[in-house]
Amino acid sequence: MATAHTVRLIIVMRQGFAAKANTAAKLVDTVGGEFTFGPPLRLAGDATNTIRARWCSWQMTPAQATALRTRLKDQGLLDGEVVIVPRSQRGTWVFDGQARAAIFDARENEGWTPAEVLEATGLDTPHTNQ
Amino acid sequence: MPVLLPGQPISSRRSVLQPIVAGGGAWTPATPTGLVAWYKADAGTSTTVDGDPISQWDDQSGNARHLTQATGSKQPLYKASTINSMPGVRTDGVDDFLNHTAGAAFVTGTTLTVAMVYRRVAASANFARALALFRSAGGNDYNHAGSMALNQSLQDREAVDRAAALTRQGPGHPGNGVAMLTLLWWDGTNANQRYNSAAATIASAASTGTWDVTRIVLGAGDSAAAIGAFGNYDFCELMIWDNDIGSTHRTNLETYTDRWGL
Repeated sequence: MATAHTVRLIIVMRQGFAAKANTAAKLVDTVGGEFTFGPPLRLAGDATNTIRARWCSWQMTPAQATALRTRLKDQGLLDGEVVIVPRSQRGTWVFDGQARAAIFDARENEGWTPAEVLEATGLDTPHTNQ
Repeated sequence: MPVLLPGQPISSRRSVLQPIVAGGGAWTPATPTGLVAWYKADAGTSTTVDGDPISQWDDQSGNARHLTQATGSKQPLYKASTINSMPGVRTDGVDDFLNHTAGAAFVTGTTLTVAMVYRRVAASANFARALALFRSAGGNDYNHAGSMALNQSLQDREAVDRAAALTRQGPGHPGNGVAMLTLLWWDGTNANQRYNSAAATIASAASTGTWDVTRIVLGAGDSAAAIGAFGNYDFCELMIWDNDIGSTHRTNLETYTDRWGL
């Protein structure tokens, strides 16, 4: 049997929209979706560890991906505020600092890796001790 | 005694090598006393469909310490072919982890044995955790008596454990894709470590304090209040005992895990 979860998206959401994004995610993943955009990101190397964004890497069905996009719109995330980054732009796409959300095609072996997403967005994970 | 057939997988052929223990049965992780948790990727996963997210990985010890994850985006994937072409549980290094939280500490003495068959898929954040055991009071999985972190540190070293605020670092990480049996044990005085049956040096003083383990987190760790330090790993088998199982059982354990082709 083949998996129905054929889509993997890495989604970076600005901190200011993370709560609404979790509301949207809860409508797609009704069990635990409210915790989807949890792991924090800071500007790379920021010693103050100020949270600038939250991210997730979600293996989902195509229907879930469509539903999430719809629910994010319902929460006020306009089309012009989202950048969809295809795998073909691996290594070339650079964040312009404008979008409220960036959605990366992260399919296995072909798509964006977490490290590439962080480099392209200029973000990293807050310092973890030891 | 299984018959060896041409073309039979190595994992099956190796079954004849499994140690026999007193009473005549084959050695299993349940043979030593004090098994508190046991997870193996070829049993007890909530799905066996390659690429599907796993919401639960059942404890095989009989203690019902099942690892769970309710949030879909944080669920690791079931991978049908990982180490030795056998199943594994893959965390993504961004947000995936599995968790068990108990009401009371299930490891409380001065001794402990942890054995895990796994491999790093890709390096991720500094100090990314493979396994964290949290103490009852919460806080971090390091620098607190009774807790432990097995991680990939900035220096690309693996297997840091913490007890009574002491740091112990093992040898350098063998690299992405390398299958490992990491065996850590505390004998009441010292922390000890072996990788793939070879002794490893741990830089440390003698261990002090007692264990106070109430929570298991696989694939992440760091802070009990805000799980982080996510790692990108394939997990195949994890066993935890609340004591030092001793040298004979350690040897039998290493033979038992030969089924992973180590």
